[in-house]
Amino acid sequence: MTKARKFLALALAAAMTVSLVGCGGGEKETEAPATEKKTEAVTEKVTEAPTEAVTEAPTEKETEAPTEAVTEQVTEAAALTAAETEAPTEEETEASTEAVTEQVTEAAALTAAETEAPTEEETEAPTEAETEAPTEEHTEALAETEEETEAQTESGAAVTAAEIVATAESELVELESEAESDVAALITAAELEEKETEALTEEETEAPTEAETEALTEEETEAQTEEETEAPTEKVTEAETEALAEEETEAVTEGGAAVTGAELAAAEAESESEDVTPAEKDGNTVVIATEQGLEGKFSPFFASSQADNDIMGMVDLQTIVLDRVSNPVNNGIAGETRAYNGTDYEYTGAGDISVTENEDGTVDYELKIRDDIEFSDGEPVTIDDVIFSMYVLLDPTYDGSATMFSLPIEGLEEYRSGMEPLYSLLLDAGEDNTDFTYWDEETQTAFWTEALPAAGEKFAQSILDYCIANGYNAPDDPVEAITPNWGFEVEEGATALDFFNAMVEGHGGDYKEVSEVELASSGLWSYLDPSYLIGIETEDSADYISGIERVDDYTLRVTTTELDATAIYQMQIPIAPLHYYGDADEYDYEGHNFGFTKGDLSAVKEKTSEPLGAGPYIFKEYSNGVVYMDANPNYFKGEPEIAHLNFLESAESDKVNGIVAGTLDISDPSFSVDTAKQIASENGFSDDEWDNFDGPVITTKLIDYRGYGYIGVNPNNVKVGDDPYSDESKALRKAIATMIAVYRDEAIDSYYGSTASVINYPISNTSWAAPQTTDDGYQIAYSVDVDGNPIYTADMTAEDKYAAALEAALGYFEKAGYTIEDGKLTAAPEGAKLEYECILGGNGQGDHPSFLLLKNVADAMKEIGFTLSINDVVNADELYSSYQNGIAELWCAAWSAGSDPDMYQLYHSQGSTNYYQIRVDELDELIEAGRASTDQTYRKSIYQAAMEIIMDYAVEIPIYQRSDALAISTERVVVDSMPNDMTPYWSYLDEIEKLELVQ
Amino acid sequence: MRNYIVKRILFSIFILFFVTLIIYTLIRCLPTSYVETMAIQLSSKPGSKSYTEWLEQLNASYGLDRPILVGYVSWLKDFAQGNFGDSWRFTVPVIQEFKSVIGVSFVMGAISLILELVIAIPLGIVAATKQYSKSDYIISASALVGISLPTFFFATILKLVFSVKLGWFDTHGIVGRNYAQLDAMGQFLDKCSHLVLPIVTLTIVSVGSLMRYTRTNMLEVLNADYIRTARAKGLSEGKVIYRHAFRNTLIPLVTIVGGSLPGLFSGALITETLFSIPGIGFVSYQAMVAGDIPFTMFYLSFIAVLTLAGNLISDILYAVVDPRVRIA
Repeated sequence: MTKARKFLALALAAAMTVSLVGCGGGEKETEAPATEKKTEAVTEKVTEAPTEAVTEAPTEKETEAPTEAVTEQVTEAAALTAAETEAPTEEETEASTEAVTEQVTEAAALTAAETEAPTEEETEAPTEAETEAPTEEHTEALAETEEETEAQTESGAAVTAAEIVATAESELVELESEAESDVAALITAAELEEKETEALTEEETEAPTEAETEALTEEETEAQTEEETEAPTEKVTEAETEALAEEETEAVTEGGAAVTGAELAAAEAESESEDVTPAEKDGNTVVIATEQGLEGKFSPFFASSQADNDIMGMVDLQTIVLDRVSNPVNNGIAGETRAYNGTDYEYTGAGDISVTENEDGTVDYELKIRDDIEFSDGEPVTIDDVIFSMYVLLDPTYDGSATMFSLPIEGLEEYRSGMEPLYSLLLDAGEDNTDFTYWDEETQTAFWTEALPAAGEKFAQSILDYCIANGYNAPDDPVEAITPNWGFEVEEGATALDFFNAMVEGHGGDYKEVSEVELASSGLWSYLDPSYLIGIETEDSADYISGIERVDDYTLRVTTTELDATAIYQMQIPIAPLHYYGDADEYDYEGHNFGFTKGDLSAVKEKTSEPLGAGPYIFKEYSNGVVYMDANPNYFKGEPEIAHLNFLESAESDKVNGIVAGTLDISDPSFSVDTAKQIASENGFSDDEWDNFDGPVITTKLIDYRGYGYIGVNPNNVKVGDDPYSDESKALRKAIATMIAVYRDEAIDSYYGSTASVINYPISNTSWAAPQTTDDGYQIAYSVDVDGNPIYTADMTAEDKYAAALEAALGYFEKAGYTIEDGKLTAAPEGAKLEYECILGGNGQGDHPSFLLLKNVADAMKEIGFTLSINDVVNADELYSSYQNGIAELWCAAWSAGSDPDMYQLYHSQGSTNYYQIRVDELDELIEAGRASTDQTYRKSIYQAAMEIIMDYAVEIPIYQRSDALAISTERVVVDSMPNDMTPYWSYLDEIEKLELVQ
Repeated sequence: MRNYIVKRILFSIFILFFVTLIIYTLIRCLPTSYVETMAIQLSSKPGSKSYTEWLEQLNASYGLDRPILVGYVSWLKDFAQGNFGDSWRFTVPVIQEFKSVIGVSFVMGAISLILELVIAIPLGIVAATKQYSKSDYIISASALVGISLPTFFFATILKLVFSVKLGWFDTHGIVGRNYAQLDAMGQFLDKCSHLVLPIVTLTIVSVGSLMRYTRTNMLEVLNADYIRTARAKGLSEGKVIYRHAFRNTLIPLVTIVGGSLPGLFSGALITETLFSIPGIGFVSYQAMVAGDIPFTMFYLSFIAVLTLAGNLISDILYAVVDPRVRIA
């Protein structure tokens, strides 16, 4: 009994806890409005103050001032600070300011100053404010407020170049705030000023242009405001003006009224008040939806899922940037302007990249990074950080998702595999070596007595040929006549081999040096019997990569042994801080120590879940299903506008609702007509207006997906006879492909609406290599019949086209050897069938863009006695394994494309994901040629030809290019602060520092 | 009594053995495979080995190349030694992942259980004492509604009304946008407010059955002879119900509640998933979908242990509250 009582008591106690917690929940609710009030109050202050401050301040007098001031080297200006000020100058100015802001850009704004700039004289204006205002500079204003705030503003104003230290007192404003305003945009400020003053005359504006002036740069102005707004009649303003450059003075004149720093500040204040009031920096959070169940691998080395990579991208800075069509930006440091969709966009990044193709076939990639970047912890970024990052990515034990190791970097193989070419080992061991651990005596003897001399002879001959070919010698010249041109003397009647021996002797027997120094076209080793080129595993592998060379503190050079068009993309790597991921003390470039022990990445892996970098945001924590980030004040493009960034794990079903409810600000719902209709209804539109993407609640941005949907055909399973590449086999596949191609429009339109398009080549529209409709030879996929004549005419209706396609398909079947009677297939040739299966992953419910398409095709082909069965599997793994293991006959899938259109992986005989199992020499050659060139026009034509071959073999039917959607809360996010023309390669995350919230 | 408990424990271990064997077999037979997915990823890298080669290598390194029975025995050995291995999906030790998510599930479960008791028992008693009255019908009908509501449906309705339409709560997640900027108290309250809807969901959908159970038992007791006796000897109605009848109703109630105590640790898979609450239910769901055998095995075995423990506790509690059982 007592136990039962105890239990009851326990339950009671627990119940009490519940009620407490319940109350807690309630409190939270009531608290929220309170915060809102507070923020409202602040907003009011912010918006009110600057406007009033500015409106009345500037007068004719002010506009005059700069003109004179500029001409003189030293001027003193009277500045009136804060509030209603009566300027003690010849003319009276009133500046009524209510200085109540927390943002001190505005604090400076409070200083609605008037300047008098008497030439060649020093004037003291009777204000209590001392203003030293340099022009392009930082103004620090201190105001006393209840709360201490710091705000940084950038404006840019090369004003008259006055140094103003303004001390203003204001009792009304009992706030203390500190502000740094970086005045740098003269023109803007000046223009604003122009608006206000109206008193500007053209004469005045012209005046100062010719003046010799000096401007002090980067001066700091401190203004202390502690006073009531009406008081400051007696303020003193001192202004020293030195204009530095003519440019600046000109700029001043453009604005005309650019006067003292104080005025600028006023102008600036107004400029802010005119904008959509940006949210105050502190306490601002944007919530971005991310996928449920992040893997938590945010390290620049080990992030693998897209979501983890997005987070990594916020924290880490990449060496180079890619533009909107995924072209590398070569001059990221200075910035480069590139046009896209009719608009010029400026791209800046952390580094420059230049590519030099050397005569010996090697390629140098010179990477230079900015010298003014810091990691978020304040440590400067140097090239050593990049070298460290590369060595981690290239470590033999590296198992992350980056594939830099696949590059033909010089010395990489030796470094990674601990293998050295046999010839190299043989040379190092010498002719008299007796250690036969890695090779036998016979090999050694053969090498020294036969292979090496033979190669040497060819090597020497290549030099002789080179000399003749370049006109240094006549074709008939004997060897001894040629060698002097190469710096060697040989006896009369010498052979090429003698020449070679002479060179070896000249280099003290160092064959490697001979090969490196004396080569004319190719190195000595390229003439060796290939059996000496194989790698031998030794205990000592190279302790560094010879192809990665440190040039200076901010530059490195990567040398690859051959040209690889995709290599430049691999130069885009995240810059990981050596001092954080590695051991900076251990780093010694010359000593081949790169901040970690080769082969041991455990220390790097320990930091996998806590990244640090030089990106726009600082990683704080990943907990409760949220990744928290704070703005990085050291970000080289300036501290982001929004102070906090949350990536909230969200289910697909919450991605639209979450925005409506205020849980999310930005999300990426899977886009279909249904999603669009849901968004339309939240925006108050009808279902028919679903394609109106600018709504009051949610703004939708569509971005082409960086991939495409296709239907693949395995030639080994869909063929006639034994040869999958015979004309008959091709015809069979083309018969099916023709039918599928014609039904694409209807199906894609019904699934995606106008937000997806049918494509005619197996490449994403987002790639620069995608054929355009205007290109020569562009045609609809599978639109010609067996004789090469077009199947469709322009005036055909959909029904006509279906009939024509069926007719054309019969033609192909006939060519394939099918027996046709009365327009029906009655028998299949040997090796072929009357029934084929297409597998797709539509969750078993036909939820797939190609499902309706295949159903229509199957119905149509049934009429001619051909069965296309559709296998809609629930489990995607079943689909993957069926086509990846080469079991599937036809299958529906989609590719996600990389940055470069290289097709090696997909269609080359050796391609690791060549699921089409297409192995055609002609195609291999084109693909190899494509990746061996950097000429885009040439490559584009190569790829078009390659795609035509792929289509000719009918192993793939390109289906659709769909769009990704970005849903943005119109109520909370300033949509205009997102970049225009977003592409898969350039999203708002690439300009996250500019993103603003509405308040 | 001791013998009885020992016997029950031994019996539980025996059951556990077969339960885990069945679970292991089922997991190995699942069509979704972590290793296959990984092999696909790895083989698609440039210059990589083929899919089949990767699959072979990974199967070997994950011990999936062994027959099911052999695999089970080796798993069992580790399990018995308290070595649960590393989660494949989360790449941390299973126990570490478990510890990091169990807290919120437990809190949710505990609060909703207490709410259930607080709501269900008094209402059940009212319904029983006023049988066939208006309040009885209302209570019984709403209990039935609660039981009949599927969790996913009810949770979605709650989200639609209170999050999307009224905007009172966030649709999902366990913390609000400014969580990181709040002080400790603020963070606590923030979390509380995010747990309101999930707890309401859990409570409403499970309160009905407990309510009906209370009512039925109460009715049974009220019809018992000793209640008639109590009334006959002139006790007040309050004393009859709350002193004599209620105490006897407690016997079956305590066993049922005791039995559900271990369930506090099992999480609420559907509710947590719907509200994106990183609890054990949500995490185990992700692990299962990804084919993470170590984590799934741990979780399912854990549930099995809990269920067995729950039964055991019920039996023991039954003895605690009913002296007749002890004597017997």
